[in-house]
Amino acid sequence: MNRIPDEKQSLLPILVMIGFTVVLVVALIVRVYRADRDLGMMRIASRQARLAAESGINHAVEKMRAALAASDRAANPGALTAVFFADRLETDTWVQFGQKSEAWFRIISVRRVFADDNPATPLLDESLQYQILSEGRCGRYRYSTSAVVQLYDLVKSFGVFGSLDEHYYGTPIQSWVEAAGSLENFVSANAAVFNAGWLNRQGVCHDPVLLFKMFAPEGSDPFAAASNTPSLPYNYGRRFARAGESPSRGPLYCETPVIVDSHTFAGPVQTAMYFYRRGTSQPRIEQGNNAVAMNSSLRMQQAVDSLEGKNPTDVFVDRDSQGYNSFIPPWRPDFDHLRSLSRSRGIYIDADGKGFLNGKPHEIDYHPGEAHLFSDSYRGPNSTRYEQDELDEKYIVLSTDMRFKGFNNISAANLQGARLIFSERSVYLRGDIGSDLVIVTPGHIFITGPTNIDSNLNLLLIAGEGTALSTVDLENYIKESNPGPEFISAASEWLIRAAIYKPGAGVYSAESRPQQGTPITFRRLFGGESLKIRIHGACIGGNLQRWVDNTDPGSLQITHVPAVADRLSVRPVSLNVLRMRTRPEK
Amino acid sequence: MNIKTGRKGITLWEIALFTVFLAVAGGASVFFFFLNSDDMKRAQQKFAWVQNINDMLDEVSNEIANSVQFEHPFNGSSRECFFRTAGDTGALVPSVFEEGFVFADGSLTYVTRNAAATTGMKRLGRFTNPLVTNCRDGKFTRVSPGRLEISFKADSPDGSVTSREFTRVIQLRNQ
Repeated sequence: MNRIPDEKQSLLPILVMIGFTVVLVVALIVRVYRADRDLGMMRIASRQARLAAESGINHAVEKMRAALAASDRAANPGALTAVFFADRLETDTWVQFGQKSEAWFRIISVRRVFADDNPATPLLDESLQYQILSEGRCGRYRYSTSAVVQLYDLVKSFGVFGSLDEHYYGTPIQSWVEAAGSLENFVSANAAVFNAGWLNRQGVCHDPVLLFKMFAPEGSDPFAAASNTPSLPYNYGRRFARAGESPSRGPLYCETPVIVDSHTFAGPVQTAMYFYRRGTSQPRIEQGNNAVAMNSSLRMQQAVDSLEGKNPTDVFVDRDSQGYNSFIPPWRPDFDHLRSLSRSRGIYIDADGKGFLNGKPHEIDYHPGEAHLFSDSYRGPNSTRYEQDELDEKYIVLSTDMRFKGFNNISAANLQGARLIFSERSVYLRGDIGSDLVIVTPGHIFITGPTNIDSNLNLLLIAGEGTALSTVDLENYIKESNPGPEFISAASEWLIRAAIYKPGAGVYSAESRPQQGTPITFRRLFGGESLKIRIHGACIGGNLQRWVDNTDPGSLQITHVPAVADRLSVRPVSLNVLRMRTRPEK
Repeated sequence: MNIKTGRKGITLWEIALFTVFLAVAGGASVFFFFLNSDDMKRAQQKFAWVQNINDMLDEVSNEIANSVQFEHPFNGSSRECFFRTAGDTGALVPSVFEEGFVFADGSLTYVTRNAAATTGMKRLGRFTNPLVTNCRDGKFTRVSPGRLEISFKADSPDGSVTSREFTRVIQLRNQ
C-alpha cells in the first residue's frame, strides 16, 4: 500500500477551506453589488402594483363603455344596476397588466352610488355614479384603487355635445400651414414651439403667452415662416371674432378650448380644456352664470390678463375644475349591435334596398336609387386647400311625400311598431314619422327638408359618415315651379325635431358647382338667402362648422329638448372617471 | 531551497497559508470592529433617517395624489398646502373640511382645517406628527396645474448631517 505523504494529507481540508473562503467573499461582493439594484426593483414593483391597480379602473371603464354601446339596457341609464356591470367586470382571476410586466390587476367590486340628482349641477347627474374597486399586485406589493365613474346621458344633459368645437376655437394654424405648403414644413419651422408642447398639430395651444400672441385682436404673426416663404402680416386673432349669440340654445360641451368675445350663451358651458375671454370682453350666460366646469381656465385667464397688464376684474369662470370632470369621452354607436337588433326587433334594409321587419320580408317601397352628389367646400384645421366631396351614393328615401304622391313609408301603419330602422344604404329623410324611431346607417343621412315637426315623437339619427343637408329637392322644386319669394323663404326654413349624431357633415347638391378659385357655399342659393336650420333636440359629435359656414349668421340654431330620446331603444351614454384614490393594502 | 524538509520544520506552504488566514482573521476582526464603531452607527442612523423621511414622503405624496380637489397653492409656492379628500364611499367631503400639510416651527405637520381653526392630526399612516423635525426652507410649489413639488432641507437628529435637501414631485391625479 502506498503511503500518502504528510504534506498531501493536510492539503484536502485546506483546499476546501480556501474554496469556501473564496465563495464567501464572492457572495459578499455580489450581495453588496446587487443590494442597490434590489432596493430599486422593490421601488419599481411598488410603482407597478399601483399602476396595475389604476389600469384596472381604465380597463373597467372601457368595458363599461363597450357594454353600454352593445346593450339596449342603456336605453334607460337610470334603470341600470350595479349587477349589469358587475357581471361583465368582476373577476377572481388576475389580469396581466401590460405585455411583459409581472404585474396583475383584478376588478373586485362595482357598486352604485346612491345619490339624488342635484339641480344645482345641471351638467352632472349625481344619480348615475358608480364606485369601482380594483386591486393591483406586483411582487409582494399590493395596491387598491377606488374610483367614482360618472355616466352622462348626453341627449338629456347637453344641447350640443362636441359639435361646435371648431366654431369656438377656430383653426388658428390653418393659414400658416397653407403658407408653409404643408403641416410638416410649418412644424419644422416652429420646432421649438411644438417640442415644448405649447402647440400641438391640431393647433391646440397650451401656453398662455403663445395663446395671447395667437388670439390678440391686433397682433402680429407669432410664428416663424418656413424657408422660402414670406411671413404673414397678421395673427389669427385679427380674423377671429365670436361676439353675438351662440347657435346652441342649451347646455354646451366642447372638447377643445373655448375662445370668445362678448358672446352670449343660452345655457351652461363646459370645456375639457380652458375658457378664454379675449381682452375686456364680457361673455354672458343668459340663464344666470350657473355651473361652468372648465379645466384650468382661471389659471390661463390669469396668466393672459397679467400679460395684458390688467387685473382680472370679474371672473367669469368659477375656478379650475377637475381634469377628469371636464373631459367627457365622445360616444360611438356599435353598428354591429344595432344591425343585429334591427334584424330581430325592427326594420332592416339591406344593400339592395329591400326591407325586413323582425327578420321577415317587408313589402314596403323604400325608393332605392343612386345619385351623384357634390358638396360644399370645406377645409380642416391644418389642410392647405379647400376640398369638395363628390359622392356616388346608393340611397333609400324615407318619407318624401311630395315626390312620391303622398306615399309615406314611415307612417305608423308602415312601420308596424318598429322603433329601429337600420339601412345599409345612405338615407334621404324628410317629413313626418309615425312613431318614435331610431334611424341608423353606416353611410350618410341626408336631411332634405323639415323633419318630424308635427308631432312630439322621439327621433334619433345615427349616421356613420355623418348627417348632411341635401338641397336637391328644394332646388328642383324652385326650378320647376318658380314660386314667389315668400314661398321660398318659408320653404328654406327647416325645422328638425331630432337628436342627431355627427351633424354638420356638409351640404350636398346634385348640381356640379366646381370651385374655381373661390370656395363653394350654399349661402345665397334660395332667393339670395340661405337655408335656416332649426334643430329641436340635441347634436352629438360631428362638426357643425360646415353648416355654420353654409348658412347666414344666426340661421343655425339648436334648441335643447332633453326628452327627445327618452322613449327610444338607443340612448347615447358616455362615461368618465370623476375621481380615484389609490392606497397600499396593509 | 529544498522544499521537502520533512517533519523537521515548517513547509513554505504552511507559512503561506498561515499568513493568508492570519490576514483574513485580522481583516475580519478589523471589519467587525469597524461595524461596531461609532462612525458606522452614525452612517446607519443617517441611512435610517433618510429612509424614514423618504417613506414619509411616499405617504405624503400618496395622500396628496389621492386628494379630490387640490385647493392651495393655486399658483406659485407656499409653506402650506390644502386639499379636499373623498370619504370611503368616494363621496366628496364638505368643502369646509380640508386636510393639508404645513411647514411651521421647523417641522412638517399633517393638519386638518375647517371654518373655525386649523388643528394638527395625530398621525399619517404609521408616522406620527410632526412628520419631520429640524427642517428649513420647506415649500410646496405648484409647478403646473397637474404637478406639485415638495422641497425642504433637513438636519439629522444627531446633527451629523445638515441641510440635506429632499424634493418630491407629485402628479395631482384629480387636480
